[in-house]
Formats: sequence, C-alpha cells, structure tokens
Amino acid sequence: MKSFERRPSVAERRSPFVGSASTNNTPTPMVVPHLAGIEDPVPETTPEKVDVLIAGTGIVESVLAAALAWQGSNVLHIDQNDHYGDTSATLTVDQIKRWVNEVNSGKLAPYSNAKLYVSTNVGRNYKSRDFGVDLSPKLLFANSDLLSILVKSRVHQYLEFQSLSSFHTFENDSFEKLTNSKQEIFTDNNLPLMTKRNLMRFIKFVLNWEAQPEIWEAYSERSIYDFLTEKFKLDKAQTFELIFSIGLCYNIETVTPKALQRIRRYLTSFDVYGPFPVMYSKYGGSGEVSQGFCRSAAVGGATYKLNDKLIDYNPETKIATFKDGSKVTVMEKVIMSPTQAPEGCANIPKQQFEIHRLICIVEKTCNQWFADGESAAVVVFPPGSLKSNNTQVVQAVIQGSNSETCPRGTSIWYLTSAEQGPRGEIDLDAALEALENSLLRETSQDIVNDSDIVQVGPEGQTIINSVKLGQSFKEYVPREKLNFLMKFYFTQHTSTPPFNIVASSLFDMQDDNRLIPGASDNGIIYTPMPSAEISYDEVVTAAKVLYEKIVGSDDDFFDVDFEDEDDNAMTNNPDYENAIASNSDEDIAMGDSGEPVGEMEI
Amino acid sequence: MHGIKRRNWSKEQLELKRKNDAIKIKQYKSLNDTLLKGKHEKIYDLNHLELTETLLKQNPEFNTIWNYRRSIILSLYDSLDIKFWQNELYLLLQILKDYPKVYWIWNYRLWILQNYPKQERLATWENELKMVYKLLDLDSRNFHAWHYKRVLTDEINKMTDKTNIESQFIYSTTMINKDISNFSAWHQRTLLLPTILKTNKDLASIEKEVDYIVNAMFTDPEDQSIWYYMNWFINNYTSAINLIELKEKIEMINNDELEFSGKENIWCLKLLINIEKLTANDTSIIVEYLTKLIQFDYQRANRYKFLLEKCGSSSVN
Repeated sequence: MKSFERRPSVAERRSPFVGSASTNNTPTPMVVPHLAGIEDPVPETTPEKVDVLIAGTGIVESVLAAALAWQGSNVLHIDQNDHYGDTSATLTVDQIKRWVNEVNSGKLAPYSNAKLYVSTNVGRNYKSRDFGVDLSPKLLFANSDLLSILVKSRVHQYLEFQSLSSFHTFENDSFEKLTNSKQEIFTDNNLPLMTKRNLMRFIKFVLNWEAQPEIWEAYSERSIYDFLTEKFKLDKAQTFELIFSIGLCYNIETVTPKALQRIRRYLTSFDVYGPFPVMYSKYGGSGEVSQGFCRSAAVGGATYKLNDKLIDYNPETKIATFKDGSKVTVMEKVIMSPTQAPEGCANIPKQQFEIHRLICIVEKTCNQWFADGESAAVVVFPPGSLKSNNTQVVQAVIQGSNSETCPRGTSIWYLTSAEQGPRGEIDLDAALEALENSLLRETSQDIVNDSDIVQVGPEGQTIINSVKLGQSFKEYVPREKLNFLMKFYFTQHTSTPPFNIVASSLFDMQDDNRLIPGASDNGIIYTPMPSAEISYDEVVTAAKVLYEKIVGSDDDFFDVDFEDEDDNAMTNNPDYENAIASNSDEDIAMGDSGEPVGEMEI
Repeated sequence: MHGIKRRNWSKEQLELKRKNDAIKIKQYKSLNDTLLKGKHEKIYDLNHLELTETLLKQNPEFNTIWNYRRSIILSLYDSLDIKFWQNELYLLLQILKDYPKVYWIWNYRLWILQNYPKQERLATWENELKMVYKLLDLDSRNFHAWHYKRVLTDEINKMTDKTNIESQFIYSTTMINKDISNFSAWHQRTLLLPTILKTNKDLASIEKEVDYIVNAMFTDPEDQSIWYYMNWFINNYTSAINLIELKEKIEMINNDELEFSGKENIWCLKLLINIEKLTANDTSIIVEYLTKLIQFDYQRANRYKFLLEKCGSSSVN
C-alpha cells in the first residue's frame, strides 16, 4: 500500500515523556498512547474472536469504541482509509484531492457533488500538509455532555483546546458583534434602556425556562421569533442575535422550547472555563477529538487496523470477512459508518437530508473578526440576510493560523447550509461573497483613522464599529482581491434532520432479524452520518444509544475509575471549602468596613 | 454564589467522617488545653508559637489564640529575624486561601504588617497591595479584601505622599462593570465619589453618575446593590439631581415589570417613597406605595404596616 503524506499526529507533536511543549508549566508529564497505523505499525493479524467490530473511525464510532473498551468489551476497530477520522477526518489538501475523486467516482455514497479548486500556490509557497481541513467542523460547548466525557475519560489530556468567544450576526450587509454578557449589556451605550431591560430579563428567564411554563406555554407550538418579539418585546436585531448567534438555530420557525434550550446551552457554557461559550481543538476539530478517543480505546484494550475493509458479514455464523481474506467471529454486534459499507450492501438507512459545505482557504488573516488572543470566530447569516434571499441560516466558522490548522497569513472558512436541494449551494456562494466583501472592506487602508468608524473605548482600546462600516461602505468597491488557496464544496447526506440530534428510533428500524437475501451487510448496525449541527451535541447521544444496544444499558457508559482519582488539572477552580454557602445578600452586612451606605429608610 | 459548592453526604460517608473526626477532635482538644494553659501562665516561647500555628491552621476562628500568638511574638520580638516575618505573611496567605472570610486572619495580617521590621516597609506594603488585587480577581466580592485594600492604599499614600484616588475610582467602576451585583465595589464608589466630583470633572459628574445608575437599574432592577447605591446618591445629592426625571425612569421600570409579571418591583416602590419624601412629600402617595409594598413584599408586611401607622399618626417626618 502506498503511504500518503499526512499531518503530524498527537503523539508526534509531543515528546511522549515530557510535558507538552506549548504548556511548559504542566506539572505532570503525560504519555500519549500510540495509535496503530500512525505511530505504530498496523498489527499483522486480526484477532480470531471479538465482542464488537466497529468500522469507521469517525467521532461517534471512536467515542463508542472507547466506551466499550473501558467497559471491558473486546473491540476491533477498523477503517478502510489510511488515516483516522472517517466522516470526522481532518485532511491535508492532497488528502482532500483523493477524497474528492473517491466521492465523484461514487465510492463514498453519503457524499456527492464534490468540487475542488486548489491554487498552484499550494505545493509552491505552502505545503499540502500545512493545512488541516475538517470534513465536519464542530465546536465544543463548555457545558456539554461531550466535554464531561472528555474530562472523565481523560481524553482531554491528549488534546489542546482554544477558546472562541466571537460570534457575529450578519445583518444589513454588515457584521454585528454579539452583546451577550451582563457586562456588555450594562456598558453598551448604544443599547436603548428598555432594550437592556428586556434583554436582561430574557437572559435571566432562559437560564431557568423549564421551571416557568407560565411564561412560554402559550408559545410551545409557536416560533421563537414570535415569543421573543411578543412576550419579551425584543426588536429584530436582538431577536436575530438570540435565535441565530446564541441559539445557533437554523430558521425563524424553530419552535420556542427547542430554541430556548439552544439559547440556554450557550449561556450556561459562558464562564465555565472563562469568558467564552465554546472551544475547539487545536490542530483540527472533530478529527483530533476522534483520534483522542481512539487512543483512549487502545489503552482500554481495543485493537486497531487501518486500510482494512469489511466485505461481508454473516449474522448466522457471526463471521466477518475482510478484503484481505482474513476472518473474525463477532460475538455481539457489528457497528459501521455508512461510508465503510461493503459492496452489495442493502441495509443503510435512508440518508434523506442534505448538508452543503463550502470550505475555503484564503490568503489573508481575519484577526479583526477574532476576540483578543483568539484565533477563531463564528459568523451567522440569518434567513433573508443574503443576496440569495436565503430561508435557512448559513453558519460560518472562521479559523486563523493560531489554531494550527493553516499557516501564518492564511485562514480557513467553513460555511455550512442545511437548505435542501440546489439552493443550498447558491446560499453558500452568496455567504462567501458577503464574507469576502466584508473582509476586504474592513481591511482596506482607506478607512484607517476615520473617526466615524474607529472609536476609542472607555478603557482606551480601539473599537472598530463594524455596523457603520457596513452602512457607509455599502457602495465601496474593493480594489484588492482576495486570494483563494482552496475552494472545496460538497454535499453530505444524513439521516439526521437538519441541526437535530440523532433519534434513537433510527437504530430500532434497523434492528435484527430483517435479513435481505443476498445483502452483504445483514445484521450490521449503521451509525448516523454527522448532522449539520455545529456543536458536538449529537455525538454522545448517538454513541450512548449504540452502547445501550450492545451492552444492554448505558449505566456504566464511561464509568471509568482511574487510580489517581483526585489529580484532575482541568477542574482546578478556587473552591473555598470552609466558607459557608451564602446568598447574594452577604456583602450587605459590612460590619467592619467603614460607614454604611446610607440607611435605606424602608 | 462566590463559587462555593454545597456538599451532599451519604449515610456511609457521614459515619466514616464521624469516625475520622473523633480522632481529630481528640488531638484538637489536647492542643487547645495546652495553649490555653500556656496563655494563662504567660509562656512565651518558640515551642508554643509553633503550636499556635498548628491550631490556627485548623481553627482560624479562635481569636484568643491569635492574640496569644501576638503576645509571644512581642515578647520574642528582638530575636525574630526578617525571615520570620516573611514566613508569617506566607503562612497567613495559605490560611486565607482556605478561609478567605475570617475576620481574625485579616486583622492579624494587618497587625503583622504594622509591626513589620522597618527596613523593608514600603516594599512589603506594596507587595501586600498586589496580593490583595489578586485575591479580588479570585473573589471580587470579598468585602474583607476590599476593606484591607483601603487600609493599604491609605497607608501607602501616607508613606509616599501621593494620592491614587482616581485610579481607585476607575478600579471600582471596572469591578462594577464586571459584576453589577458587587456591593463592595459600589460601597467603594460612595467613599470616592464625593472627592472625585470636586476634583476631577472629566472622571465624574452628577449627570454622568445619574446616567450610570440608570443604566444599571435597567440592566438588573432586581439587584439590591444598585438600589442601595442609588438611595445613598439621591440622599447626598438631592438638590443637584433632576429627581422628577429619575422618578419617571423608575416608574418606567416598575410599569414594565407590572405588565410582564403582574407584580410591581419592590425596589422601585421603596425608592419612589424616598423620592417622594425628598420632593413633594405627599403622604397620600406614600401611603399608596406602602400599601402596594404590603401586597408585593409580603414577607416584610409588618414593617410596612408599622410605617403606615407612622404616616397616619403624624405627617411623615
């Protein structure tokens, strides 16, 4: 097998016996276990008998493999590719070229319509493996089930996370920076007083919305837009921010309870590890996280094989046959990603929903969109904000070079739409054009020192008023051109509805005993393809449901006991054990500190 | 609040805890007896100094022992070198990390600072100030730390013959911006604002202050810190403020609350009473507000009833 170029793996980036180079003050050295096929050679032989065979090393399969391995199951985890990640892979430019060819030759059924442009500069000024492009870009909420499992399983120790606090809403041809924290609402001089009041009231409500049905019950079947504008009297700008940037909902019709849950997800994630709601893993998104879980599974005893493909499974004899002729008896279940299905398969669930992705590498930094010290941002294009008159949202994740997924001076833009049919691609093109124009406008030299646009903030910092930028420069025609190093478009198909979390009924439908004569994949359970959801929220749900199908219950899902239990670097918060839990009024009793603040007469 | 977790114990855990505690209690009692005896007999030696440390680490609330430690130090003063004093500050910091809200530790720390050998005095006090800023970063609402910071800045200003009232004011603003409910920061503001208003028109003016408070009220009208500050402000600058305009803003919040939840905001009502007293002082209006307060703040109904009676018997004030 010809070996292709790839990006350095987690273990190769760190010396295995020394603490990570980028965090010199890490007290305990951490050993990153090796992965078969990357740092370790792939084992020559496969075991004769395993409990579970998993095909595909995408994020759901990897989390499942680790959970099963730690539970004590004997797992064989294979992938037909020469790299880890499958549907969650982080690929180099050359790997993308190969991938596009596979898609267009019909070998990767859940994908279609792949198009790729690569500038000749890649190969000349840049190396292909300087870039790490995610097939499914994902963000990690600070308060989420995947994060707690990352910590519990200690997989977080193999990874490095960076914060993302910059969320923009594109409206009226310009970017609005999100006003989401109490501090921002308090200190924002442009927000009218009543808007402050309504916004804060809503934020307080939504943190505990389920306990207050009297406020939202009348809207339980109605859209969040109606709820926010009628009940909380919020105007369109704030409503759109809440629905599309904070809630990351996909259209204006999203029903109230569902949207409230999504809005709360953002707010309860804020300030968990710092003043940001989400994180992403450095060096690549879900590809890195998948790899981390594979490493954990390997430590737990799972066997790994790359470049291996199942060609047939017989549910009667429980014998799985691989393309090299080797066989293995699978005692429990075969779990498989639809991308890894054998020829002659007939049991893949219908992948009726489309996700359109446009991934661009541009030769420009996008630092003006990032918060200080960060290297990524989210830009949301609400329905109706684009030239294409989009009815569904377009979400963009922008990553700069400090994320270590692209070289200095370049950025990666991930645009996603869950619009169905050809309109999806049209919306993405319109969003790309809007991003391109905004970037050129904002970086143009003509506007530097324009006092209307550049303001000085209360603490002396410069604030670029992007609202004004959009308005005053609407007619401005950029002279500069943006260089694209890569433009990469594809459609991905999934059984999970847009922005939804996988439903457990998906797996019930493909439950045993419905053998299709002659099919090569009878008895195999297929994992869901990634949905358009920007967060990892679906991953743990899907892995848990599959785990329950195999083990019988999800009680001991990642019930991992490590010997040195108390040594947990990530939860090192100041915790004053002795201090008595007190209510917020405590400071009022200021016995010792000088005069009281005037007696309140009443 | 303040990042403190509540802990739930299971039955088995409780039993185990009791067993372990019994041993600790025995040790503690014997230590306690030794030290009280030593104090009574005025034994001032290094051995007892060390024992006080052991006990205070376990129970920093025992002020008698802090006093005993002071007595020992004073009696051994001449034999203690600079290292001892440095160590003392370090030790206290360790205890403070576990018990950040014990009065006696803070008092004792200040005492150490005041009795510190003269040679490195200013540097030590300035280091102390840095430490307290760090502590406020960790818990911005620790009022002990705020008080300690004030003592430190006053003393450092005296030593250096400088004033930093403006940067103090900016610091309090920054802290309020970060957390509107930080009453310690609002309190700090009350101590600084009168001077700033006289000396630095760019930094603060009555108009700016009204604007700031109104913004805070609209951001979080359920937070009492703001209302307490507001009340202090209008009591002290009654004639300088446009109370009618302010009253309209408060009524706006209150009406909005009534429309949303069917209840009026009790803080609005309380402040409206005060404004009424400071302006027209119409008893019938005050009676109306008090009647509403009985309804909307039922837990304090008797207090309002008492005030109503006062209104009835005499014209107010």
